[in-house]
Amino acid sequence: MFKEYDFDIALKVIEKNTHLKGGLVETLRNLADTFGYINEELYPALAETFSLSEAGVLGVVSFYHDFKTKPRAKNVIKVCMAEGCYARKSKNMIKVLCDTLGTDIGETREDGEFEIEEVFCLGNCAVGPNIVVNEKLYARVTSDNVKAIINKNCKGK
Amino acid sequence: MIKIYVPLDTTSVSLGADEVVQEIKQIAIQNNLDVDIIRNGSWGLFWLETLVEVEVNGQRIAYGPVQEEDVAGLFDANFLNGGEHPLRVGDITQVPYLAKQTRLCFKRVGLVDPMDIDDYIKHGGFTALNKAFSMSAAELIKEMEHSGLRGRGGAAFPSYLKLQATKDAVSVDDEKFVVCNFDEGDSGTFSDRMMGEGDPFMILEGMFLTALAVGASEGYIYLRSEYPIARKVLNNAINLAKKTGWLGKNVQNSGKDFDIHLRIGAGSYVCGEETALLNSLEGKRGTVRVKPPFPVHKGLFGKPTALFNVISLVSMVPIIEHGGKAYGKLGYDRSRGTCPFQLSGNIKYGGLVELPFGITVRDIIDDFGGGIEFPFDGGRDVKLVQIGGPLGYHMSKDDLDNPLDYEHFKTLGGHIGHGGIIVMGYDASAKELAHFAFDFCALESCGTCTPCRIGSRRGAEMMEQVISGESVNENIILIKELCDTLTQTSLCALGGITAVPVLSLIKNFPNEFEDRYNKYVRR
Repeated sequence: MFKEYDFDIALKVIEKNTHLKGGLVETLRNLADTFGYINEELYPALAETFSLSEAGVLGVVSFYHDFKTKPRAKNVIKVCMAEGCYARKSKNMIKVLCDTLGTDIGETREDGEFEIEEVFCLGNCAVGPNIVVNEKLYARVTSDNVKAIINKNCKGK
Repeated sequence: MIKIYVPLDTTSVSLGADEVVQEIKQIAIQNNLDVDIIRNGSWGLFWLETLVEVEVNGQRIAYGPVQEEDVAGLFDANFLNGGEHPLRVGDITQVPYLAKQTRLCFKRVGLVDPMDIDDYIKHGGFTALNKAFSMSAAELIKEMEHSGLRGRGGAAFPSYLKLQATKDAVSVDDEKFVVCNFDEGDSGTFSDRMMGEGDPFMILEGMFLTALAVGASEGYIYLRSEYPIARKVLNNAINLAKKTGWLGKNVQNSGKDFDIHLRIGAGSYVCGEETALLNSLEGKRGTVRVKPPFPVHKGLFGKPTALFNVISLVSMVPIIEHGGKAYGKLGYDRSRGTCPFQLSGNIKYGGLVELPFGITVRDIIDDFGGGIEFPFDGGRDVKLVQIGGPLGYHMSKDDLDNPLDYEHFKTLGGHIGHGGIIVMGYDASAKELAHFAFDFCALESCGTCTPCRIGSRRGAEMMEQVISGESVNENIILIKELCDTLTQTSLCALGGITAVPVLSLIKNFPNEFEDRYNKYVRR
């Protein structure tokens, strides 16, 4: 899981990548892998390291789906919305999932417990529908077993 | 020591391979059995995952699909000696699904330990590279020309032309790059992933061959972030290759230098487009560049760059090993060689099928796929087949006799793309799929050109109206015009082929896009 955000640790991550040619995306990747999101107080440091304006950094951060600017929910559930899973009846499962968690695709529940993120293809199409619950991939998820998977892998309610 | 193979492949792990391994280990310890568990790649027979193979007298006996709770039963049936059990498959290579394939790219996937470079060499790895060290760049490119290899990422551009152009390109400080496009974003495709997880060294070898042909000494792999297992395996492969002298300075005393860096993407589909990928590698927004200049002249960091898809790169290995002419004998018309087709969707036996071009879609679905898995709504048949990813051609079941071949699909108005085949049954709605195509383009558009940025959004809105039954016939006329604009004026393939799914769906399922009650307007 993600670490609690800390400015000093974040600076170390940035400094580790200073030598990388065109390393902004790679650095943001490392920050996102560590904390789950990019804190905006890091923009000046990133801008100076990679010779950009702060707006330039924001431009890159906002371009990529993986780079979030807000802290993640305690439990992040990724759902494949693409056709491979659609062909295997993912629609019903997604509805049950949203009802169970009390939030919608692309949204975080108000209490910050659950977040459903839409993704397009996890490369596991032959055994879909697929969801990722806190970094663990599950295949053949149906409207019948989705609740059990969530209960097994998520703390909170 | 008994050798047991359990895949580390994403599909196997998602179906519980890690738990199976834990269970085997635990029971083996309890019974004082000495077992060595090797995590191999998947053979691509996904309905049999998790597939457990045991080496008995030098032969591998497979059992599948194994779940955590089956393991104790397998021990009771003495599976360590190949004992009889309802899940026993026997020799996996004799299963017709696998025996009928022509595996050139995937010949080692499933067989070898992807974490062990010695195993790769033992199974014929680096033979092509050793051969290439004594060949000139011109000879290498000549072999590629004989093979007729065309880019497997989707554009089907002749690979030898790309190599020749990069070789001929002038660079001030003689710096050139090889880039491996591992941003496999199309839904219904997983061949790159299986290659990265099952035989990563072959990708490195293919990149090295490309580097020798164009005169580059540095390479990058751009891997999508959705593949964490491939990331781990590739990282290990690169480190091992560096340690054992297959990457770095003066590789194997050949006098050649080559180094590879692994970079991870950030969830953008358009970064699979070559110029957007280069921008992303440079740390910028993944927007599409205007071509020309082409990447072969001005690519990564402005240097000449040979950018290939994973499957194109690994295809070069058998071409150099056995000669371009031998490879070129396979195939159909102007599509030479083999292509790993990926079969998925509402089908019984989804998996990876590597075959020479020219097989018909029907043959693949019937001979390999085994028909529909879940029959809904009374329909027990295939309704539509999507070929070439979210922006690919959608054919009705009347078109299934079309051969899989680049030119043939062009005449249909589609493309094979990355070889993904998604079969859908009667619950799939043509209208929803057409809406999805526009919506997906809107979400993933890089925003550089107007037709794609705005057109896709308008298209999605119009499709929403069609779905809710508002001015259906009028909207379809506008959508067709919009598709024409997108095709003619978009900068890259994302906007350019968004029309393919929409138009093919309208063509093949006309009655779903028609408001029959209001066909005749009252005057």
